[in-house]
Amino acid sequence: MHTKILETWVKQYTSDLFNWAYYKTSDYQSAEDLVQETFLVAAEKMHNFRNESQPRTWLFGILKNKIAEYFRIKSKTPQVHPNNKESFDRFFNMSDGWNKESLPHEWNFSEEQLFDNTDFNQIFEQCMKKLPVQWFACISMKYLEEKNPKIVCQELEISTTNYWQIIHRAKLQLRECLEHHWFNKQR
Amino acid sequence: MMMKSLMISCKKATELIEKKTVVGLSLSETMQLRMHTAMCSACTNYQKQSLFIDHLLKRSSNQEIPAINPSHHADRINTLIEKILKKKSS
Repeated sequence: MHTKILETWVKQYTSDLFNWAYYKTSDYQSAEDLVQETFLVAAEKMHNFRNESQPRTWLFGILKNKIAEYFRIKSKTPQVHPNNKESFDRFFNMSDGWNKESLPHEWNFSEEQLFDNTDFNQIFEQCMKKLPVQWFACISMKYLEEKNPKIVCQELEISTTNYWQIIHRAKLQLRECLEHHWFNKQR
Repeated sequence: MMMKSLMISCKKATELIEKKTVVGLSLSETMQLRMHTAMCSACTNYQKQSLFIDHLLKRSSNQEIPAINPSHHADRINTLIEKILKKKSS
């Protein structure tokens, strides 16, 4: 009986789950593994599933946990320390003021229009992918489920200070990437 | 002395802007940041843009199927479905 239901779910939701996992990890193999693991967990926990919740929501819940786990493992790869002086030199001068070429210019935009702009979203995705893995993991985890920073830090096994410093460094790079590849071209 | 401690660099200001969204700021940090952005248009731009990036990230996280991802993975997905179903029956 459970097997039958599960089969229907596999047919119905694999596509959505895969697209989401791929969007989050940018890696086909990892996305496939994550979806397979999701159904494995689903098979084991079938008895916990309550009919009043949507199967889709339930499966996405499992997948999101799997993705968090995936980022936690990824983030352990050795990285440049975010506090590394060098990593900020691109943006700031000796007295910690903006370098002339990094100075944030005013962006002329309407949030609502950009949200639905496919070209812009593609640029944004490319900029995200240029981030080092650990930074990408931190930024993704921050928004994955509106997680409490303390929990994210525990999962990534870093200190809270280290965490917002990574966010700081990643945001500087993201902002610059968007300015160069989108906003400067709109002028 | 008081004035001096209120003055922060642009690097520090951007650091506080990000810290604010993660763990929040102390009263003196809030003052430092407000003082700085009142005088610095580059950091004011940074602050607005940082918030916008937050909205983008939040949106793309909560949207289960992002608009930029059309189902051009159809073949891959079909193979994956078969793979999972095979595993189940074995």
